[in-house]
Amino acid sequence: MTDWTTPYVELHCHSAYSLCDGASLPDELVDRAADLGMQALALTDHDTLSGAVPFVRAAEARGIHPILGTEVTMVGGSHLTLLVRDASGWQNLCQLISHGQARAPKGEAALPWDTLAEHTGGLICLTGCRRGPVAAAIQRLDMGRAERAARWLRDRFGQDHTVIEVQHHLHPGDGLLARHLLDLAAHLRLTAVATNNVHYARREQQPLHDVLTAIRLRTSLDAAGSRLRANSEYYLKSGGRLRPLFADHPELLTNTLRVAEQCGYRLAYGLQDLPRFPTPPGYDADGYLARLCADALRCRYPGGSERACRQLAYELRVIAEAQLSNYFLIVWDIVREARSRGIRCQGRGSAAGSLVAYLLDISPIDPLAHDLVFERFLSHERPALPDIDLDIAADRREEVIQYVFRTYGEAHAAMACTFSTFGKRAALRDVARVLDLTSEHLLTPGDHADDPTRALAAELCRQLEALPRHLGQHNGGMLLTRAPLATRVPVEPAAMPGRVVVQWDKTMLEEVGLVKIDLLGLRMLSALTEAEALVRATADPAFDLDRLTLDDPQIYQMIAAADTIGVFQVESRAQAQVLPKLKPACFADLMVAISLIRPGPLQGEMVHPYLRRRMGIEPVTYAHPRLKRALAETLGSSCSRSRCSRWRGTWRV
Amino acid sequence: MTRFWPHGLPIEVTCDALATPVAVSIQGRRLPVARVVERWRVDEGWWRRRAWREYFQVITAGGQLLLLYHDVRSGLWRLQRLYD
Repeated sequence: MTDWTTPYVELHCHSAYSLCDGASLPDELVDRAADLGMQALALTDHDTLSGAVPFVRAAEARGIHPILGTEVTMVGGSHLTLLVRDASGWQNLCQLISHGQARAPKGEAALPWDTLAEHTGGLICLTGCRRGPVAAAIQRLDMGRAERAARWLRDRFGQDHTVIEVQHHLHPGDGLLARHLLDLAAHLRLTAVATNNVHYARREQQPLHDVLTAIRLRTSLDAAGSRLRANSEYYLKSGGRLRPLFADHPELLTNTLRVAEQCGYRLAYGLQDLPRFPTPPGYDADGYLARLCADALRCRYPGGSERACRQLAYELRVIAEAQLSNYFLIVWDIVREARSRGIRCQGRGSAAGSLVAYLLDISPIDPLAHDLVFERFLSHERPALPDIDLDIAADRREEVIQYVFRTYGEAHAAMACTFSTFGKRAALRDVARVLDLTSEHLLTPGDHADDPTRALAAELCRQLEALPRHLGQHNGGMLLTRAPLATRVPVEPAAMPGRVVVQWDKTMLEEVGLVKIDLLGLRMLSALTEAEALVRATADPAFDLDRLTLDDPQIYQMIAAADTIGVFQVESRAQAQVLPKLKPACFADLMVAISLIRPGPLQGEMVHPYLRRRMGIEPVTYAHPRLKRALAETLGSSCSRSRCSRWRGTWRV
Repeated sequence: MTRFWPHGLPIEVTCDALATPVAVSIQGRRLPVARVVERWRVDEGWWRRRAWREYFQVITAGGQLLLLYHDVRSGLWRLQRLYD
């Protein structure tokens, strides 16, 4: 029931990123809050800001103000609800989370009280749920201790930013606790607010929350007993729903709006967050990058090339304007270090279109010789961040990661995280376990309608599948920041000793515009290193893989015969069908073969037209004469993204 | 002496518009409710037999303290405890 007459903003709300304690994803909560007419909503997951990015995105889409916060776990186990007012509050909250997580086993947190006292600026402190230091003392009837705890918080956060938190979930004793909290608030002249300590968007999600609780406690629902919440009142409620619970104190609801008004912080990052690459004296990043490229240009194009010079000047200008010279230097340095250790390493993807990347040895491909498109990587029109992914011999990737940590400092580097969701199998196993059923029982085919338990379990599995279960270390996505990382983003220790991970995954980092560097492990590169060593040991001691040219006809004969088992990129069955028809005879043909077997051309049904043209069955035509230059290489079909970029370029001429 | 009915003693209850008891009838004796001391809600056990009950601790006009509950699913009222 929507109630527009009692204004209320929920300031204490858990999402599924309170792992195994929240049953709704941030966007579900935002949708519900917007439907209830809330102007704002706070997200306060346990010791994490993992939900922040999807939460902000959803809130902006629904036009409600997202308040970022966290319920921190203190040393000793008590809870406090912290809300971010401004940028300094964000920095402090990030640091508090890192401190709390660093001092406890994985999945737990324990923030020392004196650390909290050092980072109170820009934050609002709500005194917490029943496990808050104030409410817990009142429940033990230790009023002196409750008052001391409230005074302690007030003296650190300030009179205006310390708020007594009052909850009422229709449990025995809630009314009495609320009266004592209100007396204390009056006595200390502190604002008091109602919150509902939300753990799911709708009342109907109580079963899912109970299942999550039992999974977290590693027990069955029956055995969990009183550790499950005694009723289903922890859903997102409107002001109208809460009003009867606080009938004598309607200001508890309206005060939530006063608190929300103080929390104006917007999550935002600039591009220029990377550590500064130490350039030699007299050079800034732009200048040093230009110098490195100019030197390399002379080596790569010994006779000089007007086209290369023009392209270089153009790329350097675009890179400088995008303020990315520093980024290039950092990547260049990583590649250089890897090579000096004999670790195979190269850029992948659209960076190959950049002459600068080629000159810096980030990409092994000469984009001019292969007619590749720089704009696919970076252009004025596409303000998206460029992505330089480095493939590194898998067995030695960790060395490169260690180098980056050493170079920029442990405090300035962290890996992105990944969230694994329950997925179908774990959901089935866990639901069966908490319900004391066997998963075979749940898997038995048949009509669920005649078996309510099975129908219920199937529905719970469906709801559970998409929820995050674990936070892990991403395989190579690395975030570097100029300011200490823990002041910019929330981090926590990874399972690997000494390693920290950002509480955001790759997509979230991209969404807030933080540049990450992907150091991906590629086993094929390790295999090449091994193969090279084998050739040296058995056939040719002077063999150098990097000096092989790309025009050996015997190689193309093997490829054309689809003799490609174990050959990277052209070993799939789909490739094996295409190659004999396409009969690649040069490197450019291989590029076409690889770009054909991709979702775009396959779905766009471009494969067969291209092959028919290639085999001379169909004449080569162009949709428009102006497209001839762009599409000549692919015989008139638009089968790759770089062709499309060319296509657009042609049209503008 | 406190009396306790583990499965509840069936009673009749009259409520106001907010579903709060105003009078309790125990074995034909009607006792007006002077004050609701406390109320709480239990909603649990959905995976076997859902227990969904509204509990009320009330003081009658005669000064007796009672604990009663409304079983929401069956609509029945029960007396759980009578404090002397």
